[in-house]
Amino acid sequence: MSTPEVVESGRSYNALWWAKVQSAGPLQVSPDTPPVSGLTRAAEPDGASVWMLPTLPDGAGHGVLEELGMPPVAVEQPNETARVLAICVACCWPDRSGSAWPGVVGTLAQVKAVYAGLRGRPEQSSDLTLIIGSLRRLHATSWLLWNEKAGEVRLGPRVITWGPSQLIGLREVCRLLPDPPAAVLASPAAPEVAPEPLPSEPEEDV
Amino acid sequence: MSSELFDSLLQDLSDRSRDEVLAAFSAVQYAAHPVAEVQLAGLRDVTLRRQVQKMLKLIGRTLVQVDGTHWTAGYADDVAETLTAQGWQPLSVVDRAVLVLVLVHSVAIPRSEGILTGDSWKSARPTTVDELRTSKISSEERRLALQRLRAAGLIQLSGDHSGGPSYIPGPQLQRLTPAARRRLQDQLILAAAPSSPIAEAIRARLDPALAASSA
Repeated sequence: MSTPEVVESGRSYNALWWAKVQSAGPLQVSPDTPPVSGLTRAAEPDGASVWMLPTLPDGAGHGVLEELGMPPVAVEQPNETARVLAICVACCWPDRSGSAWPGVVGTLAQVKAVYAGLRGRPEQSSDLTLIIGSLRRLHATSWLLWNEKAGEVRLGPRVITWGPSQLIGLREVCRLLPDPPAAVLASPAAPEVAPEPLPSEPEEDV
Repeated sequence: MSSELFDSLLQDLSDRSRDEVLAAFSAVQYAAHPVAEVQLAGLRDVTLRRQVQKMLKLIGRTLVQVDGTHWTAGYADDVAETLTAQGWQPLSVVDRAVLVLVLVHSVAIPRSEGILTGDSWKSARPTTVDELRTSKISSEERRLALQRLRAAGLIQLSGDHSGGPSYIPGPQLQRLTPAARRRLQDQLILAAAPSSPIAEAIRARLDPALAASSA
C-alpha cells in the first residue's frame, strides 16, 4: 500500500484533481469518484452526484490576504454582488439551524422583492440589470447555482466551506433582511414537499 | 478546518515557520498580483520557499518568478500537459476566441512591431470593442464572454476610456510558467501566420518527425 509508486501516483492523482477544481471551479462528479485529499465533497440532494471543492489549512485561505494588505482578485460591483448573495442566502436557507448546503430553491421574484425591501422602496425595472449581473457573477464562481431560463436560484457548492462562525454572521444578516415572499416555483418537478419553504418569521436563535 | 494533504509537510516546521510558509502560499495563490519577495519571509528565505514550492506541487501548481523580484503561482507544466492531453478545457470556445483577440491586439501585434519586448503577456496597449467586433461572434455572446473573462482575471478593463470600454490582458496571465508563455506564443504564430518561416521553425521544434516528413 505504501510503496513509493503508490504514493507517487496518489500524489499525481491529487495534483490533477486540484488543478481541475482550481481551473474550472467546483466540479460535479459521480458519487463513486474516489476521494481526493484536501477536496471536500458536497452531495446533491438527489444523491446522483457530488461536488468536489478545495479546503485549505487554517491560516492559508483568502483571509490571509487581508492581514497582509494584499488585494485579492477583484470582484466587479462588489457591493451589489455581496447584497445579492446575502439575499439569496435568506431565500434559500430556511432551516438556519443547520448547514446552508443544499438549502432550497428560491426564485428571481423573491430576490427582486427582498432587494426592493432592502432599498426601502418599490421594485424598479433597473434593479433587474443589477440583480441578474450579480446572479451571473455568483453563478460563475459557484457561490450560487442560477438557472436563468427558469428564473430559479440555489446556493452553490462553495457554501459548504462556511464554518460555524461564518454561519452565525450569516444568520444575523438574514435576520436583518426583509422576509422573502413565498417561492412560486416554475418547475413542477421539485421533489421536496415544501408547501411553505420559507418561515414567515426568521429563526431568531440557535 | 484543516487539510490532511499538507500535514506531512507542515508538521515538522516550527509554528513560526509554518505561519510564514502558509502566508507565502496564500499570497502567491490568491493575491491578484505577483508578490514582492522582500515582503514575505516565506518567499525571501530559500528553505521556507522550498516548502511553499512543495505545498504547491501537491496541488498541481508551481512558483513562477516575475521580473526577478516577485513571485506568483501557476500550473505546473507536467500537470498542464497531462490535463491538456486528456482534453481538459474549462474555457468555452467563445471565451477562448475573445481572449485570443485581446492577446493578438494587446500583445502579439505590439510585440511584432517591437513596441513590447520580453516574453511577458502583460501589456498596456488596449484592445477596443471595435477590434473585438471584427470576429464572427454575436455582440451578446461577446459581452457575456468579456464578463466571464474579466471575472476570471484573464482580461481587465484598461484605464483608457477615450473610445468606449477597452481591454488589456488580466493579471492571471502573469501566472504562466516560461514554458507556458512560449507555448502560447507558438500557438499564436501558428494561428496568425501558418505559412511563415517562423511557423515552420516552430513546427519543426514541436514535432521534428512531422516536419521532416512534410519537407
